[in-house]
Amino acid sequence: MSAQQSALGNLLADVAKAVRDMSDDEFEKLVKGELRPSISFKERGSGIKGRKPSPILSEERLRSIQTKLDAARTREEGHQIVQEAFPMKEGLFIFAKFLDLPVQRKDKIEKIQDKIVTATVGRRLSSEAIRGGYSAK
Amino acid sequence: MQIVSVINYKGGVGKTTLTANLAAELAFRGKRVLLLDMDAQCSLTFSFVTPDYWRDELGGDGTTGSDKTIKSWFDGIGDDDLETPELGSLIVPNLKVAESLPDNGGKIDLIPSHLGLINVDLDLAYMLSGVPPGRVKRQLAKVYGLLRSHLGKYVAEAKYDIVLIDCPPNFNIVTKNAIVASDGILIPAKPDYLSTLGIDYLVRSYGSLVKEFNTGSGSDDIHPEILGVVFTMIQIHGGQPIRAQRDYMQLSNISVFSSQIRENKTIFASAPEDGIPVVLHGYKQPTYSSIVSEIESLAVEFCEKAGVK
Ligand SMILES: Nc1ncnc2c1ncn2[C@@H]1O[C@H](COP(=O)(O)OP(=O)(O)O)[C@@H](O)[C@H]1O
Ligand SMILES: [Mg+2]
Repeated sequence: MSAQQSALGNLLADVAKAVRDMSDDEFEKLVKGELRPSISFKERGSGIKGRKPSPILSEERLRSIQTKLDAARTREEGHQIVQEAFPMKEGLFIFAKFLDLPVQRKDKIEKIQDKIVTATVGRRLSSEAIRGGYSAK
Repeated sequence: MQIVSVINYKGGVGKTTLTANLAAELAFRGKRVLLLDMDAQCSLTFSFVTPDYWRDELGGDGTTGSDKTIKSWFDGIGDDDLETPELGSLIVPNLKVAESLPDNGGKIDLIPSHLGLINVDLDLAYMLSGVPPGRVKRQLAKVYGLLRSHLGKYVAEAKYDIVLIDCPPNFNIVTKNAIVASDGILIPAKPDYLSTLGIDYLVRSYGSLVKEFNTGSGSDDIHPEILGVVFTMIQIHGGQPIRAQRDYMQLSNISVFSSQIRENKTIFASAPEDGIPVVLHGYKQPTYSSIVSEIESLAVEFCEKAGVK
């Protein structure tokens, strides 16, 4: 493979990744022509190739936060857990994606956090309230 | 013989459509299926017979004075002066759907519904008037157990492989009879916020009914099992449900079928005006094939979970 081929391949792979990362809404808009892609080029940082996902965001870590949320008794407690675990938007966003929630990169931190707490602690509390102590077993 | 109630508090979730197609697919696979339409909307009935036949021959709207629907059975058990018809005598003869089934022993029998079924609750309340307060619980449990005891004969004779009951979207005496008679509960649902709350509401009503029956009846305890939730009207995008729906499909406190039914207005809108459920139509287009394979996969998973041999 020539260097040119390889560079072109990488470029297309980047485009593919950008498409994969789109939300359903964004994708639909793109198809309808309501969204326009914008491409920019940056200097490649020296260490970029060997970059691993930071340990904060390992799957194991994400799973452990999920387990903590499963045990939270109130929504406030849920918010606290999420805030402490993901003070930055990037981590919060990755966690929301891990939970398969409909979030977008442009969403505000508060909104993503709300979505996470609602989908985990909130759903469980709502469900328990309506079930009134009965279970599906 | 397994008896399964199909129920959801929310209307319009595709419950009747799923019941008709599941029945058709099971019959196609050689199963003997009995359908009981217990919803006053009569949608399951209209999935197999025309409304004019239902009005003129089955007396489903009460204008002919002769009632050959499930309501005549409820009227009979609620009134000592009326005869209670044998359930089997209410089966609609010669359903058109039989022509679309192969000759492998499979069949669909249907006991039709009646518009007046909506008032049955009030009528049965009479049965409890005059009952001394200390005996109300016991009498109620007896009333809820009537369908169960009448279906007992069919169970003993193994007349069917599966009985599917299309329940109304409420928890009246009709629904309670269905649940008490059932081995399993199937819950079709749309993946959205209010629908998932509806599932929890149902779990509660079901739980308290089972408890009420088992403490009051004096007969054997019942243990209808929640077979699980089947998600319907799924919007597929890029080979999977759209994310907004996926968000409501991860239920941790109830079992969920892995089979799902996608949304397709083109195919489902006119169905089943011709008396034949979609799955037996044999259209030749890719979307139709995906829907058929979804219903096939549902039938297989259903047989496993419900223990249909
Ligand atoms: N998978 C589906 N895709 C599109 N429309 C559907 C689907 N399932 C059911 N429908 C339509 O939605 C409406 C409600 O369905 P129905 O089975 O009668 O619901 P329910 O019994 O829960 O009230 C009907 O008009 C039916 O044709
Ligand atoms: Mg219906």
